[in-house]
Amino acid sequence: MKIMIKTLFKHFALCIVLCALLCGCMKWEYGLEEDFNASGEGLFITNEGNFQYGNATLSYYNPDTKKVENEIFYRANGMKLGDVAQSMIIRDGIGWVIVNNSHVIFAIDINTFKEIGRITNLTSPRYMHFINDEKAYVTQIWDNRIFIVNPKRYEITGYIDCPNMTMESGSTEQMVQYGKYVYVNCWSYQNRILKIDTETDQVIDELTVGIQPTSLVLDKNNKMWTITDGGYSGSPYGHEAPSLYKIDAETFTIEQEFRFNFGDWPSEVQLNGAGDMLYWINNDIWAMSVDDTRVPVRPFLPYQGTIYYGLTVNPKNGDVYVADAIDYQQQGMIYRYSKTGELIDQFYVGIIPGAFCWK
Amino acid sequence: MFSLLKKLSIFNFQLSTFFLLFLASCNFNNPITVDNPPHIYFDSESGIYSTKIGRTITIAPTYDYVTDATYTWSINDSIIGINPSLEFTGEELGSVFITLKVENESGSDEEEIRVDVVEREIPTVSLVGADKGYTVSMGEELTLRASVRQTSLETTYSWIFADSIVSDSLQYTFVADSIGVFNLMFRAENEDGADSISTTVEVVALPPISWTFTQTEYQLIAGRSIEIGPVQTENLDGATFRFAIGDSIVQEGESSTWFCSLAQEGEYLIDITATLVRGNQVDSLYQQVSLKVISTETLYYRPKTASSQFKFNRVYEYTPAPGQFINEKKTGGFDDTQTTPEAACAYAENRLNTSNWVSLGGFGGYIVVGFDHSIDNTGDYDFGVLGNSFSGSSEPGIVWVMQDENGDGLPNDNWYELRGSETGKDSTIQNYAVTYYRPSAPQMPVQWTDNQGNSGEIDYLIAYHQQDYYYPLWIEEDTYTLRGTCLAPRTYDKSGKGTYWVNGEFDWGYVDNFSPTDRLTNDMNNYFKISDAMDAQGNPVDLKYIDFVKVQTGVNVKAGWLGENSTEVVGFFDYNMTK
Repeated sequence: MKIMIKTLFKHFALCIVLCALLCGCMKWEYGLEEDFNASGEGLFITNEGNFQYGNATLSYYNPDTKKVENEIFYRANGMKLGDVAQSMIIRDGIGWVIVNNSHVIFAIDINTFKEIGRITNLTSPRYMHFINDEKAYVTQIWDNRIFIVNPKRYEITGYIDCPNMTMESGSTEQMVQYGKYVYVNCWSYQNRILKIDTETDQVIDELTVGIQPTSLVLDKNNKMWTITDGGYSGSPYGHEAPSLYKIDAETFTIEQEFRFNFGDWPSEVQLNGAGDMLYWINNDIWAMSVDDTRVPVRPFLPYQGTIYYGLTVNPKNGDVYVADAIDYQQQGMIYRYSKTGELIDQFYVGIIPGAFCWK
Repeated sequence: MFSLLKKLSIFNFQLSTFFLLFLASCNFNNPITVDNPPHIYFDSESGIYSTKIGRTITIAPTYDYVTDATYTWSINDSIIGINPSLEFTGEELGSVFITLKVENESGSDEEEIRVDVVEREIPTVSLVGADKGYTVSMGEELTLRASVRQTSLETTYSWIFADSIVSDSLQYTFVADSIGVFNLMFRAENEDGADSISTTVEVVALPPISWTFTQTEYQLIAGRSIEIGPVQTENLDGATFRFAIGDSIVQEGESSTWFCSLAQEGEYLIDITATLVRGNQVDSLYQQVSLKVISTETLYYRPKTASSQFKFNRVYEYTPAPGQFINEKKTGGFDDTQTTPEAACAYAENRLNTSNWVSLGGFGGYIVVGFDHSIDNTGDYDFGVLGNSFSGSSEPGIVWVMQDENGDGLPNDNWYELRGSETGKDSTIQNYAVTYYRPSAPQMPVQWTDNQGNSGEIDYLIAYHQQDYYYPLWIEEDTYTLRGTCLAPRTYDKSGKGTYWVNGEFDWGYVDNFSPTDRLTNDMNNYFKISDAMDAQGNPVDLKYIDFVKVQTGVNVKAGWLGENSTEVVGFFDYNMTK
């Protein structure tokens, strides 16, 4: 039965994360180091790996040459990335790889992939957002605090207490910024978007949405979009029809709710580079203009009987990349489509590819 | 002009309309009437409709600016309607895309909708044992519990006896006060339809006696002991069981089994008789079994060679209990071709050879593997089994070992259980048996009964594993029974709210167990000693080597929304070869 927990980690990070906290530290095994020089544009793919197997990896894809390099972190640094690579963000030539169940964020050079620093002692990090060069927020699951870190010193400098959460029910996820405010969706057994004042590092407001908002983006019109998964059958937190929400960042109010069918399980809302097209996974891959008044009835890419697990859009040309976890056991596959839905390329990456990061 | 002004007021005098108004007011010789183009508002927020197959739905949009408009409903350019609303009947399952175009002199509007034609949600019922009927003695209670495939519709239940509804729940307790054969029906009904199942209850003065043997041919290495006799008896309390070899009675009494420790090499025929006296009625059962006593265990020892591999080399049997990963394609790796035991073995072997887990399902599910050599008993840890336990998630598998006593290369000899930390405890049930019943329809839970008088279900977890059946496809029988040792579960809801389930670990001696003792390499491997082998009475058995290993799910419990506990195995290896 436990495989189910692992495979649904992204959606149901329940007890396992807490269990992980009890399991002690990850060991890194050291090996030979390889030299890379990946200048130019590229796409990083974080592969979660199997929970507690310590087989998370990082892949790098060059859209121009269509060449993929797998396990680049291990190859560049001679050590494993750790357990459950959750997400990655780039700022000023430094990539920050958040490794959830190893409780660490690695800072790497985005051309050589060499580690240049690390932030440790995090509870269960999920996503990172930069406020400025010396301050970033790191969201957590199973912790009712958002960690404040100093990326220059690789130090935890403080915490933002999130209201109405316990350590057990704590869940903060993706962040977007509008002016001096950062908004964060609270997903696991939560139903809120929090508003944080980055000058005081305090939660100053919250907005209730449906059950378990999974992701959060900010479009060209300064409208935030989040998509709930609606919970699941038998969940004590409830199970409802999921929805896509359009939220005005200025007034922090819901402008429109697009309701899906009960039993649907959407996730991964993403934007293109212009911020005018919205994409998400709901078995199929869906796309709509941020100005549309209702969701389309035909998918952008139809479901192919596999496990779509991650999604991104090339901000430069609108190509759509879909991560397929296949069976959560073998190497996952990335499908690259043009913005009109034509398959351009496909390539294997690591186990359970879940998140992308454009260079 | 009045109507134009009215519309203008509705739209707050939009600039574009002003412009048109200006043009209209200036063209005195050829007055122009200007109107907004039609606009469609669907009565479905998402533009997606759903209907049951064979049923008709009415799609009734509302409109603005549709003076003198025409309406065209089409599917792939074929017109299916020309009225403002559409009546659509779903003839086939699947999604239908329908385009609605409304146009008049002022312009047009066009929208696409989708109609999902889905199955009717007719409830399907299942009742364990209904096909064969039930036999009870007069005055005895018979509690029956039906299973119904869940739907999104409100469903009513009824038990019907003698043309009367005697219960409106899933469960009904039948008690008869007269001898005879009685008809009983269970029915479930909702707005989409109904299903029912009928059965009979025979009420007798004295319940019939029966017993079950799983083998009638035994073999034994001289110096050891084995248990001979039926694995299950029915209504034989108070009976006398006699075991005889020829004219010699070797055991007679209330025990239905005989722990045989014959030391003389040879072949024996054993006559087993059960006799039950109830008042003036005497009933008896008879079964003859054979026993072959072999003098030495080393006859077929297979030493390691230079080409011996440390890992297992073959899966001989894979018989899981029903479970959420059985027949499952996405993560379980099945592909619907596992319809024979051989194909199931090939599946399991391929999974293990590619370092993928194999799920044993609920209680009693097992896998049997062999090696290309005999694994020696060193008195220390001899072999390892890789599972996928982690802290808070242990799903213990009982380990059994076997020597190829008859040298035929097959695991058809005697299994010896390895002692574990729970062996001998009052909470551990030896000879526990669970019978599983094939669901009567897809997407239903699997019902089970055990030999302790309990019953339950392997839940159907539609949110996570949507294969039609959790009951192994390659098992032809509609029921099958798995027997073994059952540990008291250590599963609990830590949150108290049903959200955080823990499957606690056991001290030592089990596969897929986050043991503090026998995970020698601090990973998901558990290590085992052949010297922990014991016979059915719990006595140590001195095995110099083994050839086969069996792992069997050793708990019968489910963890809330996570579903049943099921042991998973990932690999088997001869630890002695890695030392």
